[in-house]
Amino acid sequence: MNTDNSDNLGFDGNEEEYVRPDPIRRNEGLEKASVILGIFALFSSMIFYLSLPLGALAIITALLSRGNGKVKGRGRTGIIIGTVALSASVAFTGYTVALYMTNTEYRESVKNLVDYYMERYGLEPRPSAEQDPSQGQGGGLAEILQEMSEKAQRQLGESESSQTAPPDNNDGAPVPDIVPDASPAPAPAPAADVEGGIFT
Amino acid sequence: MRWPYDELKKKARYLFTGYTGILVQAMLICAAAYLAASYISMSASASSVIFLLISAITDLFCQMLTAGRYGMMLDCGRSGQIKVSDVFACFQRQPDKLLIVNIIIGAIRLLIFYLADSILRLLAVAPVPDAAFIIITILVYGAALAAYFCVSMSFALVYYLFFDHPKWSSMELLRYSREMMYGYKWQLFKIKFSFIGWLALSVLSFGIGLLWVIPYMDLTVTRFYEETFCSEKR
Repeated sequence: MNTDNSDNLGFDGNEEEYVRPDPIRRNEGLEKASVILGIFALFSSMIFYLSLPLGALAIITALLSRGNGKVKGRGRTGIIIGTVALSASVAFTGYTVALYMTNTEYRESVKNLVDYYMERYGLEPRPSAEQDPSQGQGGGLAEILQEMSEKAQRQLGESESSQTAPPDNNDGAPVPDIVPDASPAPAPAPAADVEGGIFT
Repeated sequence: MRWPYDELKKKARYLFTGYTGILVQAMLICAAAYLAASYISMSASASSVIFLLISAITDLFCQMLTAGRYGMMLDCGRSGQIKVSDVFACFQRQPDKLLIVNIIIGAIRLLIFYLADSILRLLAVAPVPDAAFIIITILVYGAALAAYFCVSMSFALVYYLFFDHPKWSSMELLRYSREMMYGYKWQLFKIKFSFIGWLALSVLSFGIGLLWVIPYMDLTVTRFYEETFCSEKR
């Protein structure tokens, strides 16, 4: 097996046994893809879950595009951009987490943002840590989503029960036709404290 | 500094650049099959027996696709005539033989972890201190993992031999693979382990990068097989 550390210059140690070296072959398509992915990753470096895979893919495609040669030109550009995008994404995310952990004002503004959307979608506003110390730092996204899904299920159940016929009352009285209420639910009015939040 | 097996990887990359599209498409088919198989297994988790049965059937189906992909890898470096439909080649070419091989390998792997699990169940009943139990658990599962890798490396050549020697029976494929890999298991492990950085990058890309990395990895192992076991024959 030829796994020695000698350069592939065409000679396999013995001049009589000339081994034709493989011509250098690159994949230009992968090179271009790496640059494009890297640029997308760089522009989306504020979005962790987008920039991370794009940056990693840019590096993978750039490294594979070299074929049996070295990384050059667009491939090298792709690696650089991808690495910068990955680093920027991790740095931005780290900075945001650190800011949330240390800065009270920032934490409050994030909470206001969450409360705004909870009000907007008709969810119960969460008591702040000062009002209810047992709540700690407030609920996570999972809890918010759970509340939203519970509310949606409740609404679905209500609409289904209003559309189905009521059970027989056994007294012979005529059952009135149920006309489902087609009018949309009125949008909840924004709370006063939300109005005074970060969106004013 | 140059990494070991650099030449092997360089040749694999050389082939990969020539057949990137076809290899990635084949990998995409396999990945889709694996995802569908895992979805079917998860959705049919009413009882553990049914779950195990469905998992085994879907896994066997996916292994057939994987074997077809290995055939493609061999053709890359030989005739160079490959197409995406070669992934399904094993369904037309003595599938019974490959099924038996896969069932035997799967049974051996299952047996290893079943033994490890049984040992730990016996120990759980015995009056063993908690700290000792944790250490024993780590040791038993470590040993099971080592045995699993050993079995995987021993039978790593089965698919290649299946394509190169179509007349061999299932047991012959298993036996010759084990005999040929004698003394080369550690080497193959090192080759596979050298892709740890690539796999880490693939994890960062949420698994999408595996579409490129796994064909590259398999091509390198194919080059290892070709240069170690086939060069003398030629």
